[in-house]
Amino acid sequence: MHLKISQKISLLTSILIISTTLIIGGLFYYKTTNTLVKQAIVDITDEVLTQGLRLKTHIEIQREDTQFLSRLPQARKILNTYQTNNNTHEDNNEFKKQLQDIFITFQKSKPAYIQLRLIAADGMELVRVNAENGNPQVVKDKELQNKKDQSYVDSTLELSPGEIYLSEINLNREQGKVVVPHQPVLRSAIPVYTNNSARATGILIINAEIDHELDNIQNTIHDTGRDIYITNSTGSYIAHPDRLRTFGFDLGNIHTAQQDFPLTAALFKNNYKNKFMVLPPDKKTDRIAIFTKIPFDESRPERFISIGISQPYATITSQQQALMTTTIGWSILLLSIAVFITFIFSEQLIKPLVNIISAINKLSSGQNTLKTLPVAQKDEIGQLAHAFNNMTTQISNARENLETQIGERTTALTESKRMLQIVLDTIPVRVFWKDRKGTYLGCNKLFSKDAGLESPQQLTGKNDKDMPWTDIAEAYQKDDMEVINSGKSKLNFEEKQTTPDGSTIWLETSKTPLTDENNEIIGVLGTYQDISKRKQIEDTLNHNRDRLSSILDNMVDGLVTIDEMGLIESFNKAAEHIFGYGSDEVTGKNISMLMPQPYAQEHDGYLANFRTTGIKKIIGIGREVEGLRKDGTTFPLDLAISEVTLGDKRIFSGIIRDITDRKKMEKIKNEFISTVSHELRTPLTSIRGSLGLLNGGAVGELPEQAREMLKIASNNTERLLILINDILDIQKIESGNMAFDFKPLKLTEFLEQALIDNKAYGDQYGVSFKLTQTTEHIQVFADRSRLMQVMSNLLSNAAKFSSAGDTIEITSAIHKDSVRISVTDHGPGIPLEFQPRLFEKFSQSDSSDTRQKGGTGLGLSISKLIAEQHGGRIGFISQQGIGSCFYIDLPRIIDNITCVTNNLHRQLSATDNARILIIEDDQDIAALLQRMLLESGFDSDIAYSATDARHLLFDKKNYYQLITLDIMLPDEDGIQLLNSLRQQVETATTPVVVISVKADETRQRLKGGAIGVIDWLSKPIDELRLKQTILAATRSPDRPQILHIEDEEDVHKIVATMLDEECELSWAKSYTEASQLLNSGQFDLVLLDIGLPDGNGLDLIKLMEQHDKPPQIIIFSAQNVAKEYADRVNTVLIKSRHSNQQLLDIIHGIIH
Amino acid sequence: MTELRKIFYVEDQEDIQMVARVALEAIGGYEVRICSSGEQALEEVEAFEPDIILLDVMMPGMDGPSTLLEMKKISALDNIPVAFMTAKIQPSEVSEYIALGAVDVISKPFDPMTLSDQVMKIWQAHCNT
Repeated sequence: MHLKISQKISLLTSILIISTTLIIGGLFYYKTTNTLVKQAIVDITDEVLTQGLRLKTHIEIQREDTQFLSRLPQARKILNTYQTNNNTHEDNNEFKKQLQDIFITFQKSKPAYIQLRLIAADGMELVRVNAENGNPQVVKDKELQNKKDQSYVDSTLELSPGEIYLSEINLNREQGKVVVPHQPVLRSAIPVYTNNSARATGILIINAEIDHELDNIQNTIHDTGRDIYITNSTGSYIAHPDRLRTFGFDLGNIHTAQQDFPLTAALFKNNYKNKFMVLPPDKKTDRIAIFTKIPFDESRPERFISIGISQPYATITSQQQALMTTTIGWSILLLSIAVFITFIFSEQLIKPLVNIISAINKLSSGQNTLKTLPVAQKDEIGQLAHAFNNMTTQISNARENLETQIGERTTALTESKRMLQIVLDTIPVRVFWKDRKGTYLGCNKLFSKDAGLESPQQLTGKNDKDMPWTDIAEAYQKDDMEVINSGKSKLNFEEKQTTPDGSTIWLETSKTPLTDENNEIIGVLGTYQDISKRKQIEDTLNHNRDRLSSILDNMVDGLVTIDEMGLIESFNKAAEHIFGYGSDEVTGKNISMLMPQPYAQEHDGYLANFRTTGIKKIIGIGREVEGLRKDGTTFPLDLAISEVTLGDKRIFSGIIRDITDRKKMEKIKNEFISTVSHELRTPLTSIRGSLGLLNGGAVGELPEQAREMLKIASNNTERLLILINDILDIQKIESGNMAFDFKPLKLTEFLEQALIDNKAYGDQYGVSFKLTQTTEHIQVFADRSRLMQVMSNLLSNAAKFSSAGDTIEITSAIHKDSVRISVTDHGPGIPLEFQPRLFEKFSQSDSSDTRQKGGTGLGLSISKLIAEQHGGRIGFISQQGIGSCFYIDLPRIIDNITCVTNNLHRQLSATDNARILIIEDDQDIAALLQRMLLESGFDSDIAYSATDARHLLFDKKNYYQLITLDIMLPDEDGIQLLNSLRQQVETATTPVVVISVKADETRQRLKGGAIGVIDWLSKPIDELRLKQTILAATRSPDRPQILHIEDEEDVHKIVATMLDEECELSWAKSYTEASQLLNSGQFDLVLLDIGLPDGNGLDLIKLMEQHDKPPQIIIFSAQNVAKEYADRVNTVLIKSRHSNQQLLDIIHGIIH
Repeated sequence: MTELRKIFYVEDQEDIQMVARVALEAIGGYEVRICSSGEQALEEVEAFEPDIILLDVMMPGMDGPSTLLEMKKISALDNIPVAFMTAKIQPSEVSEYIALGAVDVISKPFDPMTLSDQVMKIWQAHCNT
């Protein structure tokens, strides 16, 4: 069904309104019905209760009246007399008359009482008054009846005093017959007791009609539009809107509430406790009903009357129904109006759209009516019209462009065809194409040359049989057919070709199927290159590779290469043999598979570390490690690793030698040494014992000569014993069998003890040991006896090589987290050529000395091993003719924690220590400075000239942390050197201490002084350099205190401006002012101009150095007078006489 | 046992026996009985009633430690201290001797002039425990 947009909108509106109305109306109807029903139930409940109470009150009054009448004395007297006179009516008349009068009076006031009776125990009526048509009539004696057969007589007589019998409400009967018209009655009877007899002597009865009361109740209810039902306890109706349904039990046609309201059945059962019942709205009867029970007597609940009230739904909701009808009517009216309005509105809305459509239709048929479009309209329609206008314009432009482009493309195509031909003729590749039969269709110039033709055009129509390569034409054609038939390219294959001159060349050819526009294969396209030269090179390379690989495979040692990630790249035959893996099993896997734990795990970490930090642990060094064979066994191996860079890739090659056998041999050797040593000690026990006894005089006095001989024998026995012990020691340490007992050790005490222990030895050589410098409270973690062994060795060596009367100096000094013990002698020094072998076993500097000096030649080897076991190191400096200094560095304990993370295996490396460059031309002084620095833990190099210094600084960039500089150098003035060092990036900020010293007579102490970190700045001042120098020199967290000594105010102002932000600047403009300020205050740094009006600035240096913490100094000078100043500084410094300690303090202050 | 008087020494080397005898008898003034083998020692030790026993380790036949173990079975020696005199004095070896029940170790070569003092110190140390 096609609907217009306006129709769709109208339809939609109608659907929306109808559905909304229905939903809201339905909801409203449902809610209000519920409310009305609920309200009706509440009302009816109230009504039922009210009417029940009314009926109950009515019965109560009758009950009270009965009781009242039974208590009358006349009634008792009548009964007494009746009983006394043997049940006759004699002599009772007076009382009867009185009772009759009372009954009449009573009846007149209560017309509902239709009969009042007094009946004797034998059933005889004694007094009876009937109400006939409202008039009380006394029944005469002879008309009185005997009611003995009536059940109520006996029932009443059995009641206790005060109890009342109430009958069901039923129709009045006379002589057993229902009286017409039907009159519902309620009888109440009460027993009358006289003379306190146990049995009642009679009963008193009131018969009351209840018809009026029931009518009243019914009328009241009927007015409200509801129906009332009253039943007896069996459910039979006493009152019903339809009178015919009442008193069925009396008239023989029983109608009960249970029949009409089946749910009430429960109410009439004896065990139903509730007195109230609300019936749920009953769809069938279309009404609601509520019932209640009214008991006659609270003590006998089984006897009751029930009252029920019901109301049809129709009357409950009747008002609402009317409202609904009205509402629906209005809704339909409103709906019609809404649909109409919507239709009109949407028609208006759509009209411009229809216009646009019509314009577009006209446009496609060639009529341009676009100007009629509602472009001016502001809404979406206007925008649409506008957009349509634009589109039309653009389409027209695009068409014009397209035509231009087609023209251009055609030209380009022609050009590109020409280009293709040029390319084909220019590329160094031969190109040809053939049809399916193998006939050439075309080629480029190079190919026609190979074919011995002058131009490509000559090729057309020929096939391979016509070519110089007739002999291999068949093979070519076979390839062609293969490509054509399979439709697949055959790429980069090598083949031969015969040239026009008959020789053979090698080609690398590719053939591809040639297709037309329908993808049908119409031939083959071929390209090839002459690869004869490449072929030749490849042959050579292959030959070389085979040669190399056969060398590698036949190597005795295993060769493994890995990449940077540790993955194995190659694995030679020997390696296969050593590890038991085939090359293909390990290639590409991690090298750690060839190592047992924990080395395997460590290796990955090590390699990662190397990649990020470049720190090498084993590269370039051979070492022993453990290997893991395929079968799970481990073995010792010698590993030499080298690093190879191939292009931008780094690989590592490892040469592996299985040293299981060597290790076995070493073990045998070690055991042999151990056994031999033991075996040697046994005879020595006898020899030493015997000699000891002889020398000790245990066997008597001996001649003088014999004693001398025995002394010789004894000394040599001791020597032999030491030798054996040393050999054993070395063997034990090397094999890891020596136990070390590490404990915290107080160093100073230990050194003092070492001096005492070795004093006797020193005495033999006439030398003394002196502890010249110690560190307080320093502890090291050491095996006391082993360390003592080292001290004894160093001290005895020093003693042996000293002249009689010499003093050997022992010092200890802290350096960072280690402590350095040094032993310095002033002996001949160690020959340069022997120095590298000093710590080797059985090495002695000079065989001719051996006899003179004694010793096994093992002492230093043992000392070195022991120092290393302590996590320390041993070293020395020595200068021939000056002396030697041996030192041991040990980790010290700080706050009970040793500085060594791993007590045994840490090695102090040389680079841990600050390196200092000593620039000093005097060899003695240089040696002394070096020793002094060494004792403090600084390693140093010496440059004897400015040229040496430049070489060292150039070779080891950023290696030196401090430079000590002598101003007077043979080849260059020191200030000039300093200036040039400052110009270079590497040394621009290296601290420099200018030292000018002379060795004193004994060559053991230095005389002279030093200027702290200084710079020599030329004027004019370079601001940046000044700031950097100050920053490097002071390193103070606070604003450094700086004194500027300068006589020219302008210069000071400039400096003050430069430094104002960085520091507190004081100014002295004369020598006098400067010396006052220096005496009174503490400065971190002094900027010193030497030329002052009243004195030489350099003389102030002496003043400064009297301070506890001498300031650091920066000297300003004009460049051209440097030489003159250098002289002057030298003199001043030498005059200033620093102590060695002050000099060291300055250096420490700068480095730390 | 208030006084150290009698020393029982087991040593296979006659040279050493002689040196030790002089050192202990002439210098120390003790009564010394020396046996050349473990077997001989076990025969004679009980009758000698020593105050202290010194044992060499390396001996042909029954070595020092075996001799010590056999002596442990003789109840008369229950409270007599035993020390080894040996050139095998690696720390591991020494702890082995102590574990066997030796009270101390005298290392060879010993100084004959101080041997008696050494033995006395060992004996006193034993008495004090």
